[in-house]
Order: sequence, then structure tokens, then C-alpha cells
Amino acid sequence: MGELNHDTLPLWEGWQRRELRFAHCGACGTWFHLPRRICPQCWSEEISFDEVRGTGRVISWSLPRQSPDQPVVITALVAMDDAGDVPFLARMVACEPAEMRFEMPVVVDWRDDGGVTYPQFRPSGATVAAPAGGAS
Amino acid sequence: MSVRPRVAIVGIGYSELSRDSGVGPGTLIAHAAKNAVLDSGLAKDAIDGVVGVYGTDLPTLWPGYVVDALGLANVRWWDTSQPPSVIALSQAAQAVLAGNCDYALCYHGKYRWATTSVAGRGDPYRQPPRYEFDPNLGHALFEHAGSMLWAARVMRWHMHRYGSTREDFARIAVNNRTHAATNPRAVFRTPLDVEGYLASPMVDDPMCLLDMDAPVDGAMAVVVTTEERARHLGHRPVLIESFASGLPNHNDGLLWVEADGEAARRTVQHLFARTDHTPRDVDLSYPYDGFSILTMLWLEALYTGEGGGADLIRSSWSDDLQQLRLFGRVPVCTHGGNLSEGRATQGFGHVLEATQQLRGTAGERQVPGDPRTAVITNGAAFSNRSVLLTMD
Repeated sequence: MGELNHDTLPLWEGWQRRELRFAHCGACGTWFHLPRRICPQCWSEEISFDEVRGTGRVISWSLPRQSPDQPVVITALVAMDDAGDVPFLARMVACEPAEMRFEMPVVVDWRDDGGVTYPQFRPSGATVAAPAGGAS
Repeated sequence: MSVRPRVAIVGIGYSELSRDSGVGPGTLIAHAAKNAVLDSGLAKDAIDGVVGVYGTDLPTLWPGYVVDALGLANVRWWDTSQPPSVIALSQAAQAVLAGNCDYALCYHGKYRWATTSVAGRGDPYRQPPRYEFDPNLGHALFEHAGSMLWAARVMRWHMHRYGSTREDFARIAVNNRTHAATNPRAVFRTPLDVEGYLASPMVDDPMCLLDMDAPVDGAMAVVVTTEERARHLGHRPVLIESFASGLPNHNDGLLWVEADGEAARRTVQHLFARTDHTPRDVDLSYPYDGFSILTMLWLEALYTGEGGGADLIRSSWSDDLQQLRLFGRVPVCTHGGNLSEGRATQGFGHVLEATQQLRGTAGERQVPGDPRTAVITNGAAFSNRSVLLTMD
């Protein structure tokens, strides 16, 4: 985990309440990620960190090597539907690597790990039977 | 021929590249820098500019250290830089052109810090400075995701969108390894074929161990000065015909969606806009290979446009040579690239090799036919600098 700072904190605090938030310009409506308090489009500094439904589509993914006793981790780059397609990086769960598809619809899910809550994604319509991918 | 004032590389130097040098990063860099000055034939007091890669990605040594280490008494210009190394080279060239200094030493060193090496983790003398490569201050929002290796996702995206295959990326790795056999600097010289590549372990599927440069210890350096001054020194000057860079419109590396190579094309366009040369008439090609997907994107930017890299690799492959010959002629990464020299170099190996080839002093691996031009495209979309080198 890198160091939190005043720019990243609003998103991270949202995660702790299971809210997925992204930076959103109050002047021109542009969504952007990573969070900061100036709009890259119109330079307005009226930025809010607004909650989204958390649906999106897979842009790409990779399968980082794990030790043999650990579950498979799928690291997915997802374009967020209701946040202007901003890319967001998180784990995929409730899905085997062979089931991954480009543009597949996914929805945000949550994982508790060491007292911290993180967003992750699952395929739309899939349910999560057990926490996956998270070493405690 | 260009009438613009140009800068020349007049000295090159390097340390041993190894998995465990047994010395500290200061010694490595000082050694490389010393050798570069010695190679130039200049007295050390002539060096009046120093620039080194010191920025993000775990700092090693700032120019003041090198001044102390080599006793440079007349430095009137200095700067810091970040990888890839051609950024430092172009800063030095700009300083010389602007008259801020006459003879600039530029260097880059890498070291297997505890955070970049499993073996280094247990070594109390390899603990890194308390500084993290977090250029966008966003790592707190990422690291839980499992993989920091953005290039793996770009590679998968490229394979999906353009039909490139693991065999195509294998040929990049095999080409470089084949060349490394005749490069005494290279750390990884064991012969490799496509089957060997395909059998190598996945690190971040679809990226395998042989798609990425491995951490090593080592340093490299060059000295640059104006073309006019260079003509009074010992070597035939290798001229910097042009240099260029470009940034994509999104630079959050971990979120990099610009896998279409927009920034690479922007860089190449600017690189050749200020010269009479075209990419296809250049004799030697040094696309960056910190990850094999970057080689693919640079080949496309240089020669084919978006998505044409796989076809170029297939049509350029020689089974007999186990090497690429672009358009039947141009060899690629004749030293073996970062993939063979290791991650000490981050593109500086390309500069040293191209300089040796153009001088005609590459020994066993000298490309025949008196090559006169070399293009070096260094780095990735969000951190790149490219250079065209020529001999008159």
C-alpha cells in the first residue's frame, strides 16, 4: 500500500463505507481518475468525489504469479460506465481466468483485508461465494 | 545534410553488469563515468557539465556525488533526470547546444535494492532510500489489485486488438538473446529459441519471464560535446542528428489505456521532422525492450503504423540467423537490449552499442557494410526519449 495523501483520501474513505467514488468536475461534468482537485478538461477547481453504481467493462487484465498455495489473482483494468469510462484497476473475483473476456460487464464488489476495505469486481450477475484472491 | 548545430557523443564507459557486483552503486557509477571520460580523451578538468538519472524509480546518485567521486573541479552545469537514459542524454545535448557547458558527462546506474530483488531483500546493505516510485501519488489506490505490471495488460490488449501472438513476442526476445551471444557486456547470453521462450514461466500472464528485463547491478555513461569540438578529439564523432519525445494524453501508467502507441508515434514523428532521414533508411534499429510489448509498439511507431508490428516481425524473421532483419536489411538491438544486458541500463546500452557500431568498433558483433545511422527509441509512452545518431 502506498501512502495516502489528501488527494487520494476521499476515494479511500469512500471504500471504507463500501462506496466507489471518482473525481467529478462540478463545472463541465468531466469524470477523471486519479483524483485531484482540478479538472483536466476545463481547469475548474470545483471538484467533488461522487459515488457511482460501480458497473463497467473489462479493458484488459493480467494474472500475476502467486505462490502455489495462494488463489489465482486476476488484475483487471475496467472502464467505469457511469463515470465517463475512466479506467480503474482492481481484482476480479467469482470468475476463472478462462472466463475473462474483453468488454465483459462487471460490477463492483468489496473485500475486507486486514481491517481495510478494498473494491474488487465480479462479473455482472455473479454472486460471490467466498472472499477470493485476498491473502489476509 | 543538417546545417543545425549538432552534438556528438565522444566518450563511452560502463561498469561490469552483474547480478551481484559486490560494490555499492556509487562505485559502479563512478567507474562508468570515469571510463567515459577516459574514452573521450579529455582531461577530467574539461568536464563542466554533469547530468544523471536520479529521479523516480529508486534514486541512485545525484550529480554532486559524481563530482565528488571523480573530483570534477569545473562543473558549471548540472541536472537530474529520470529513466530512460536518453532523457539524460538529451538534457546534456541541450545544455551543450545552449552553451551552458562544453563537455557534459551523463550517466545512469541501477542497483538491486531490497525492493527490486528477492535476494536483495535479505541484505541489510541493499535497503532503498525512503522514497517510492509513485509519480502520480496514487499507489494507495492500486497496490491491493495484485499486479503493478501495467505492461502485461497492454500486451494482452495488443494481442486481442491486433492479433499479435506469443510467437511474435518470442521473436523479439530470441532476436535480442541471439545478438547477446557476441556482447561480452550482456548478463544473459544463454542461447534461446522460440520454444524456450514459450516454456519460460509466466510472471504476469500473458507476460513471461523473458518479456522483461531482469534486475542487475551496473552503470553506463557517455560524454557529449559540440560537433566542432568533437572533431578535435580521438574518435570519429557520433552525431546526435535529432532527439525527440512525446507524452500521451494520459500518463497514469497503471491505468495506461493508450496501448495504441499514440505517444510513440508522436515521438517518432518529431524525431524525423527535423532531419532528412526517414525511419526506413536508418541502418540500425534500437527499439526499447524493457518489456517486449514496448519493442512492438516502437516498431509500429517507426515502421508500420498502429497494429502492424506483428506482420513486420513475421516478415523480418530469419530462421537461419534467429534474428530480425527489418525489410531484409536492418538488424535490431545488436547488443541484445535490456533483455540481455539487464535492467542496469534502461536504454543506455542501446546508446553505447549504437555508438560502437557507428564507430566501427563493435568487434565480433560489428554490423558489416559501414552503418551510418542508428535510431534509438527509449522508454514507454509516459516516459520516453528518442534519438537519431549519425556518422558523417
